[in-house]
Amino acid sequence: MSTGNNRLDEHRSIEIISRMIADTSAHIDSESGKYFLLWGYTTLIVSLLEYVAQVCHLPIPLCLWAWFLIPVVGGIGTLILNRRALTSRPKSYLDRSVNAVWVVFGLSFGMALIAAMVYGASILYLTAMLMGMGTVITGKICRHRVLTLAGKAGVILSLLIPAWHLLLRRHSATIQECDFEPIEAILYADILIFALIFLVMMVIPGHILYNRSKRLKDA
Amino acid sequence: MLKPLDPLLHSELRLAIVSILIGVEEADFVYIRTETGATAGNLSVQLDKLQKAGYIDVEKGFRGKMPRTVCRITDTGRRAFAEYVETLRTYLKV
Repeated sequence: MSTGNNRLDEHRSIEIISRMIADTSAHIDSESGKYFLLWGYTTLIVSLLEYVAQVCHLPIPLCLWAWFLIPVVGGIGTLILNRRALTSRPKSYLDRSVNAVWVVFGLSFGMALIAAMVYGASILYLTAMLMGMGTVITGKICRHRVLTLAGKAGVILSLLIPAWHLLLRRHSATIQECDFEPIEAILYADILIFALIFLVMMVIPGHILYNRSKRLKDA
Repeated sequence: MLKPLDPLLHSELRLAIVSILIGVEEADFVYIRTETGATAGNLSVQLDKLQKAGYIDVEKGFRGKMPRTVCRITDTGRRAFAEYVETLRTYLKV
């Protein structure tokens, strides 16, 4: 749009206001999918690597440290995306609200990590549940139905993890006796559930949001 | 008799600037220039007029070594824009 500094009539005024507001909204929307894709794919890939590492009996320290790839890769990626976004796009009230939500949930994740280390709470369950809640709130703030639904699905699916642990405890004797090899494929299946949750909760809605904003930009 | 439209807002570029800023917390000079298609010189002049009227705040700073000008709408600007839109409605009878 080329806007000179000439006087205008009332219809042109309305046209300018509508177009500027719509274009700015499209810019605000355009980045949201990228963060979900970044964190979703990072968690999905690291979880699958972790599962393979556990099943193939890779050294324990390697298995433990692999999880830390998620905050490292996600954190660096987020910094890069933030830097790019700030140079080319306006800062909205939504940005501030969504940032605040994820800072709170990031801190909650830190607390969950402590709970997991000190009290042996299930970090996979707590992480999936907290991230699901964060996704639901983000969806509600941004009025993205897909995100809200994906977050709700994440919260509900996170219950599968403690359910799986309960099942393992109840049938531990049977599992130990069965001929299935390697047995770790069953014991660590909660990691696969965790990966599935992030696929449903972040990767799929991330692609939907990204494609939608791309279409809006091209239009 | 119809109320006159605010002459400060009733210009293509200034109205476009305020319309961008009304929906965001802040936007930088480069973004506004890209969106409006205005020249840097003309945009600077119009931003200065809006700032002098108290409609926007302009903050000049740096990001790294690059200079960066950030614009925000003020409460006065927000009220003026709302009044402008309201007056437009009476003109267009919507």
